[in-house]
Amino acid sequence: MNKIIKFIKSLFFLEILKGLKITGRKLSKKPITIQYPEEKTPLSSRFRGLHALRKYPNGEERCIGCKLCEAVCPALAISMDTEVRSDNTRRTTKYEIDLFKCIYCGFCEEACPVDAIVETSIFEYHFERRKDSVMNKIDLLKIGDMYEKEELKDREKNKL
Amino acid sequence: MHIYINDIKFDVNENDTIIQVADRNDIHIPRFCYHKRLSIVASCRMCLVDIENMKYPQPACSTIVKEGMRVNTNNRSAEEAQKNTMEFLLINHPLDCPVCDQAGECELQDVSLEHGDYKSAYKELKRTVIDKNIGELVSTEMTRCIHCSRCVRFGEEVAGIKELGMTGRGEDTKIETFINEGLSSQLSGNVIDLCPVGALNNSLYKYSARTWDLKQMSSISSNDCLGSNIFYHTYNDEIKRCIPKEDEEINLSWLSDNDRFGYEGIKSEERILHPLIRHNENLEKTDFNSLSDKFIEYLEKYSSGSCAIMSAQSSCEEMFLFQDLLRNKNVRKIDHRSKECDFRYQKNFPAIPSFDIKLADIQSLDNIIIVGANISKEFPILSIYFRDASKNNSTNIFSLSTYEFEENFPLEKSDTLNSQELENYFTDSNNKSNINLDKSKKNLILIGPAISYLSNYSNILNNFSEYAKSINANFALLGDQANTSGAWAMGILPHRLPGGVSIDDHDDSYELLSNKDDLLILYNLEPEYDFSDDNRIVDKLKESKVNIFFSSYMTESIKKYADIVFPLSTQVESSGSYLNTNKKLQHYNKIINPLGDSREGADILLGLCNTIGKGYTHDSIREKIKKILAEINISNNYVQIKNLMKNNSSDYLEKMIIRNPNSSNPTLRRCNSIIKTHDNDDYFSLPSNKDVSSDDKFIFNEKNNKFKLTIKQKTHTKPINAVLVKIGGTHKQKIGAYSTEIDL
Repeated sequence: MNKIIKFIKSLFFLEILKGLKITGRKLSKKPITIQYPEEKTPLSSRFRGLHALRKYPNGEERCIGCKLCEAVCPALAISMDTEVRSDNTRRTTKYEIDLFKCIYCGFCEEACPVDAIVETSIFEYHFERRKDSVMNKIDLLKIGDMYEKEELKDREKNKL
Repeated sequence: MHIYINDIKFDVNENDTIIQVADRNDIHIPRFCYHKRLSIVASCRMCLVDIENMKYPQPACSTIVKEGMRVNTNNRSAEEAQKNTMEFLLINHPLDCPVCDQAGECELQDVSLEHGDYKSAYKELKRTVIDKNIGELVSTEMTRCIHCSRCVRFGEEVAGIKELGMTGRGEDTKIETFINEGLSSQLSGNVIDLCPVGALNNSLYKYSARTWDLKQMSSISSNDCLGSNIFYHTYNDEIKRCIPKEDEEINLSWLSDNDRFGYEGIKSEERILHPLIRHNENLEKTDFNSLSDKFIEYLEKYSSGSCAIMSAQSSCEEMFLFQDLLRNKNVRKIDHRSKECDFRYQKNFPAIPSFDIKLADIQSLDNIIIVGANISKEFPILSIYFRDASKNNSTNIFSLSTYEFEENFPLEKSDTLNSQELENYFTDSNNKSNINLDKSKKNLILIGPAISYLSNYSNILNNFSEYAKSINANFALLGDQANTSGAWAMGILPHRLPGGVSIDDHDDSYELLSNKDDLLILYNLEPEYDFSDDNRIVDKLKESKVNIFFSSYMTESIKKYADIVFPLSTQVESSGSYLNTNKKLQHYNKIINPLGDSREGADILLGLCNTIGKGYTHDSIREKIKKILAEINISNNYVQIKNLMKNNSSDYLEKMIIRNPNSSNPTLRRCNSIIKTHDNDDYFSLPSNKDVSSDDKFIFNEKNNKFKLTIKQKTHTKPINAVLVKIGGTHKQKIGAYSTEIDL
């Protein structure tokens, strides 16, 4: 019996017509495909992308080298060295994030007591040499400078 | 007698406090001001516990147990009290844990997590306190202080110098030094450990690591002959700090500053990082193999004309291998006593000169005579025991010395004498100031290492041990270096083999620096600082045909005179064992990897021994040392000399050597913070029976040399006929308080 029904359905292209029904319905609607990279999807203000080290408005770096981000990092991607700077404050001499190890969990951002390390909305980046995957302090501060305005906007949105 | 804590029954002794019982039985009671080795003040109120039938919670640290007492450490009333105390303590404590070095091991942090509240009723401004500069070693952050007064009590009760004090009342209470001065005690570093918060910090460790990253490794201190037990904390193969390891036999919970900060020198720029050999006037890098071949070749060539001097800071393993290697090549002149000059009666010396009394038993002594040792500077840990003895047992302590100094325990009597007067102190009948001790009491005569630098060392030893015998006193000799006892036991001596076995055909007219030798081997010694006669050793280096150095650091004379230099790793970079002055063998392990190409001394010597066909391994050497020490015939320390020759007194001023504990070994000499902290020129006294005035010229003789001295400045005038010369320091030209200059 089943065999006979199947035969009749295939004889009159019923499955194809069924499929074309959906196609026909979508034909008149606005497409949801985005032409990346020309077009981009909207990002959440809490998006966790590439890391950055922020500065205070007076240009002083925020990071105090407390090593909490290093301690909390589940992938052991962060490593840093600290020293006593000439003004008797605790500062980092080395701050490195290995982006191959990083799993973008955002714990470092959570742990930071001075909001120094943040994850920006940058997600489009690539490395041409293997060692480039380790971001150092200078790179991170540069990204921080570039994305400070955006970061402040995001923070405003995230306020409870 | 028994009490109940949290409904569990515990046996207790009379006069126990609740906190002691709880600590013994691993019941945690939060506390700040209580410390088991300090007096009880009950000022922090953190240890409040609930006691049945008492209206209010009571402090556990000061409440003495009573039969059947029922204590609750965690019921509602106790917890409420702890929570309230915590809130009060946090009112003024800053929230700077992220930058505070104490974070992670902070008692306030822990207790606040356990017993604190997440909110505070206090909304006003927090108090800030201006930081004090209290020296190079301890950095301060006084805003964090919670006024537990542990550091103040430590100064009063343990260190004996009241350096820190509490001024002001209420919110104005401050911990500070009374007269704007840095800490000068040799035990000052202990306040860092005592501070429950981050108010007093280790300057060298400051902001360089976090406590949770550190790896802890135990070791033995290499700076004095007591062999304190310590922990090194390392991070990334770097030593970050050093803290005491609890040890009831030696250092209790304390540590001297030299031990705590003495690792700084290992990073010095003067470290020798490669094996070096002389090529056309210059020292050039080479490899270990060619160096070893050359060394063996020289040894064979000059065997009988060689002189080998080893530092007594080396480990027992190094010592055994060193003498074994050299004795196999017929070298007979092996010694470790680089700073001594009296070798006339060395045969009569005990097998291992040592301090035979258990440190804990010092408390039970009635009289102690210290001869030539500034205990609180040279042996800070020992001074704690002496202080306890005089405090708890009213022990009379007498001090006889060749120079003036202060001690941190009360002295019954202190005399400053020159070496001749010291020698005759108990034999001279004219001397009325003699000490008369009761034969039936427990007495101790303690000879300090500085006495061994004198030219009448044997006479002094003989006379004092005779007196010690006559009053039934214990006779003890303190070692100059970490392993002086080990050097005697391992036969780093010209007249004895390992185990104190005498060599029969030994030459009685032995002089370490006199004869001309063809080959000179110096092991971990610096000619500039480590010899009684620094001019003579330089002459010797010039005279000899070949000079071989085993050294960790480059010095001027090594640069000038060395033919071969083996790069030695420092003590923290090697493993070995020390025999301390109590004859306790303590093993230590490698803490960090040796810098550059430098190697452990034991490895170099083992390699050299095996190239001449000895099949040693590290394990077999360790077994050998244990066997030697087990078989050694240890008698008492009395030194009896027949037909003792008196030293001729001279009209000249005599050169006496000050022992400077802050620069007793090459690594300590390179610890900048220690050098900066302690005024290295402070304890001199230049004495004369002649009227000395500024710009006077003096002549004093030292063996065959005559020196002319110009007096620059005059302060003390104590023992007669003596000029004090400090060795081991960096300011060689200055002599005594007079800051004299030597013209040859």
